[in-house]
Amino acid sequence: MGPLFPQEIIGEEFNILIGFFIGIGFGFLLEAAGFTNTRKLAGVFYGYDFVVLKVFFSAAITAAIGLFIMNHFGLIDMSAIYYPKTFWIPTLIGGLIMAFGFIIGGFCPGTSMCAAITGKIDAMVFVGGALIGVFLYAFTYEPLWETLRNSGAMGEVNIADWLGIDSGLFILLLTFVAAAAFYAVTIIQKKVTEKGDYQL
Amino acid sequence: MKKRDIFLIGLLLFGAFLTFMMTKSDEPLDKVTPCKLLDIAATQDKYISTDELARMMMSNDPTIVLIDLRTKVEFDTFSLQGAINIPLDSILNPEYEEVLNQDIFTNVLYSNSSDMAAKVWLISKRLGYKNNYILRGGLNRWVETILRPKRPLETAVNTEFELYNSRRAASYYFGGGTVSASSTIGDKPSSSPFKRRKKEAAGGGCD
Repeated sequence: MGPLFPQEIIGEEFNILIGFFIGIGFGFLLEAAGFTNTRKLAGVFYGYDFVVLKVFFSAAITAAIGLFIMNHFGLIDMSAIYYPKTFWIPTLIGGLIMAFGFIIGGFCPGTSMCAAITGKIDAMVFVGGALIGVFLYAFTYEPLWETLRNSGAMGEVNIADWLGIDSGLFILLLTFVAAAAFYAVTIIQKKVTEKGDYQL
Repeated sequence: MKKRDIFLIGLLLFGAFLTFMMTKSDEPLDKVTPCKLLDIAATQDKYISTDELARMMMSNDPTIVLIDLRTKVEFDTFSLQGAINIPLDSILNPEYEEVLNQDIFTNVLYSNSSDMAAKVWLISKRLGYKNNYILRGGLNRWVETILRPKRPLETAVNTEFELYNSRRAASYYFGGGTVSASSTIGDKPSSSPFKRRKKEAAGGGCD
């Protein structure tokens, strides 16, 4: 039956309304999990708190497993799901820029919004900076960025196809990697917090 | 690690194992049965309209490959900018297989109308190739709508005028010669005067 919007089972307005409520839920959970605290996010880079890594890794795997199981039972048509084309060079550069923003500012775009709403002034400045960046990029797109933006085109790829392996096998391997990473970061976290240098 | 963490990781691993077993039993995608082919043929998303193509060409989309299915003589007389020529009778030539059977570029098939493209599209689907699309109406529609768009009646709704204006801009861009010197359009038409496809609105990042 799904996805609902691309098959025009629901209209654009209802689609946005669903997104609105999911967004509120997402923001609520980010705040409830303490993600609006910059120290929690920066903890990944200092080694005293790996919640961010655990949350996003397990979220990605949960979503993948959920989608593939629903696809198997005919609840969702994976071939109708939209995902953007990959341009690896700008993605790599954008990822690096985002990582630096993450370390320096202590927020990612989603958490900065949540933190700004809860009244954190540094988050408001962060959001302002992000907006300035967005507008600068938009207004200088054609002369400066267009060539870079279109470089390294790979089309619509997913890693499993690219490696030539089965999607299910890829998810299984990824889950093993995640489990190993969770175990490793628990040990690192224990060692760092035992020294007692860092506190949330 | 806490017991709860171990339980959750176990749950993830179980789910992943389940997924692995399930996708193994799913039919391979490259095996297209006639029934499935009928389903595919009945869908509408095999077409690309001339307006969409014009938008993609004007925004210099690097993933577009135009394939002209007419004979070499016709191709040499007139073809779309940047098109490659694969005549209909040599479509199964192994030389062209890597053009049609790939998953990086978006192939747009066209001839004078849509019928040759529809034939090639059907063959390519039967072979399990992806990313091949038919230019709806072919070159004739291209000339009618993009190169020489007709002005809508004065009583027409606003959206028709908007479409006409964007087509006129496209016509100017592709050198259709319908724009007079006194036209108010600037040197360079805006890069994407067409509405984006609905599908793209559903995309999004992680956070």
